[in-house]
Amino acid sequence: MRELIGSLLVLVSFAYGLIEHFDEKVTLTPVRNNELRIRFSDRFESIYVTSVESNIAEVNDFLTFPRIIQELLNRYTVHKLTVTMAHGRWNLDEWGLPPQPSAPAGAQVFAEFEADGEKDANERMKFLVEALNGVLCTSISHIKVVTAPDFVVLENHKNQKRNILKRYGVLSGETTCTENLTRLRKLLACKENGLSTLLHPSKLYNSVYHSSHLVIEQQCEKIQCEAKMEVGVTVVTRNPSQKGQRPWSFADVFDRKLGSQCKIARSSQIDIIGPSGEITTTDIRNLTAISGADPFDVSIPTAAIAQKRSVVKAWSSQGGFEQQHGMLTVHITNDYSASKIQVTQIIPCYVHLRYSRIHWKCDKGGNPTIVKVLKNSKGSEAPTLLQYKMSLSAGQTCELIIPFDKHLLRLEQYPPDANHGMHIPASSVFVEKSQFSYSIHSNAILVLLPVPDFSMPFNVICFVATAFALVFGPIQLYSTLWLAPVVKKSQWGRKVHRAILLVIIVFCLYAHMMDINLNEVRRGIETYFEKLNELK
Amino acid sequence: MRHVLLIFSAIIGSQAVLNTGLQLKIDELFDTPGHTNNWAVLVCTSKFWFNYRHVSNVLALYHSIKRLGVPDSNIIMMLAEDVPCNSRNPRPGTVYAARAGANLYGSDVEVDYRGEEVTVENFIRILTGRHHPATPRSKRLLTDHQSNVLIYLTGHGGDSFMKFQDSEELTNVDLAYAVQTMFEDNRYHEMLVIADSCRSASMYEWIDSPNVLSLSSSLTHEESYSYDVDTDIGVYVIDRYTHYTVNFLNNKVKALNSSANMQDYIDSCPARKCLSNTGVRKDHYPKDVKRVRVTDFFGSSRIFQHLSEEIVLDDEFWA
Repeated sequence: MRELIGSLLVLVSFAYGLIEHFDEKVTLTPVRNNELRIRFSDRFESIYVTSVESNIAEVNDFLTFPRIIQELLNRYTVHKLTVTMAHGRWNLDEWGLPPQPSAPAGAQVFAEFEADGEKDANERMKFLVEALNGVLCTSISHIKVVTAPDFVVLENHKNQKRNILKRYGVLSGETTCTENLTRLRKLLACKENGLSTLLHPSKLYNSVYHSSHLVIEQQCEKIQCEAKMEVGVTVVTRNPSQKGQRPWSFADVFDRKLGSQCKIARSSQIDIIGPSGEITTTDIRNLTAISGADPFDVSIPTAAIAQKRSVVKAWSSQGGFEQQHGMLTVHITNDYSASKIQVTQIIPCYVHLRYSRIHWKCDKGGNPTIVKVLKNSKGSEAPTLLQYKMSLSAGQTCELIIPFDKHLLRLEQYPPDANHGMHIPASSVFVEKSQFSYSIHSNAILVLLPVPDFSMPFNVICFVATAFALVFGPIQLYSTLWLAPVVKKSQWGRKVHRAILLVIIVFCLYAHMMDINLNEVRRGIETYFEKLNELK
Repeated sequence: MRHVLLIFSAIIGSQAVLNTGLQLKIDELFDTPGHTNNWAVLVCTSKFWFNYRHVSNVLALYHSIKRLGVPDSNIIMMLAEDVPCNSRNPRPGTVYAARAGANLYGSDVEVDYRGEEVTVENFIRILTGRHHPATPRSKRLLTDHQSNVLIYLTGHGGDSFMKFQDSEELTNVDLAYAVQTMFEDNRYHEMLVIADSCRSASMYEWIDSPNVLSLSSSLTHEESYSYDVDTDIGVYVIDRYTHYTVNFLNNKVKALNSSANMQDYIDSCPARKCLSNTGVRKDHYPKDVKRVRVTDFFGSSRIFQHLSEEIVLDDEFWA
């Protein structure tokens, strides 16, 4: 019966000109004796025909492609959108090439969309970011966005298109946790069976590194549109094979068995990368030994450490020792063949760049020719974008040195925990080789800014106000009045006035000494009046 | 017209199920609830890892009200610190409210505001419904004149204020103004305000809006205390008041048709258990709390309102 309904669905969808595919894959790579790199990737494709009358794509039929994503694509006329969230730092030395699109610690958003001018694009980006908050359960509303990077930042956004506006933003302090994973899982076509059963937070967050990404894109030609989406999760966790000594199974890594097969997926693959880069592929939809409904475990024979491809390495460090000046250094080391690189660094508004002293320092053959772009966005809180394009010879190391000044910010610009410091986002390096290209990210830098004593203005106001009140109030009064000659006339009014002042001063001193709360005093007076009212 | 008929048939269907004799007798013990939907705003205001217990307070209550039928879309949860994925957490991705308890941070949790978004401004925006137009639905309190709203605040408080993020304060006057604005905008039917912090009775002091029942974990001159410490994690894991609240909900309110009333709930944490006197403010709440079900605030059932006259819905309504 179920199959019948399935084939009916397919029939209906073909009749409407709608073709959808869903592929899921998990790739396991032993990267070090004690570490295992796991990458989940779920790809969606949807080809549909828009209604002829209106230019705006309106889709009403959805088989596997999530409707909310389709609405996002159409509402904001998005051509390509990449969102990454990561926790931890990718170890380029040991783990090789990072998952693409490369993710810096925190959250990253790259959007390419249509808009009527720059102002409209800014407004759209704001709405898009908030919509992402709703879809992915993130809290990236205060992401600082830079306009249109000229050079390539991410590998999958390297193609330049006309009439398309680009926005890019990084939020380094953003955490990623269970709720984000839940939302990503909700986008999948198979939520409760297939490989997505392994996407369970209990083990995935107990890891050395984890990142997730969402890439969506849409291309329309005349009335036919093609929408694609990729949901990916990468985790580096402890390798259960005990240094390649014993075979292991999925239950060892994920603490659970694989759920039943995902029937609607075109493929659900398990890839295991061997020592010399060979890939052992198993499609769990083709396994006949399992009934398809019950959970099952997959045993994996011992696998040696996968050979890693040499990559260009990048890391950032911070210099400077006092509270005013600082220095950000981005170190980039090339691998064993010449490569073209494009470096992107976002500098947030809370550090002030010394533009004239930004420079590159390279070993082996001196400085290569460098093309640079500096973009200082309008607005007091907009970040600055620095981009460089250059070629590195084999094994060359270059350092980008960015000196900056730290200034006191306005009170409302400090985050709640100001002494924790503020982040300078990781720089991104796009590497172009003759055969392939990829992007990597360095690490974010935590800058300690000079933090004022936030209670100081309050203290100063209180102290000055108290001093003034005392000096120009009772002190002046008594110092002048006591010395005044006695006038024989009755001065009852003055005496009463003095007595009241004295009582207030004594009460204030008493309240101060006894630590009496003003709210308590107010409540006391209120209850006293209430009692008086009751007496009547 | 067809829609009106549908609504009528739904009402008749639900009445037939409920009109059994026993149910009618139990119903006589309670006032007829006037609400049709339930909403909850659960706020943990404290930053830093050592305030683990405030996060678990909110999560424990979240699971209890979710069990009683309040859907995720009707719960606005604010967590100021990322405790589950904190690097100090020895069990990443989890939060426990008791030493041998269940994980409260499973894959069914949806946090709407977290980290630096938990501010006094955002809290008041949620209550008053004055958001930036880009704000997604999941971050809005979309209540109407038939909503029962539960507002739960936990964190560090003092006389007349509640500390947000260790850097700003929500004063009791702010809270009272926000509630009054909600009343003026017809944004609630009845409201239950719970404050679990030190000196929390001061938080509802200025609330003068009608149909608001306010509870607190301690009186104005008292401190509130935590309940349990987990030495493996190294922090206190839950506060006393919330522990007994959740205990009460889990043991006495097993399902939506539970006959537990609000007085039972108020009595669930006596001073010998809480170590502080819990505060209650009923003077703006017109009903007798003994005749109000706990599930009017902590649960959510689809309650249908009878329509006695024919209503024709115009095109504007369906647009």
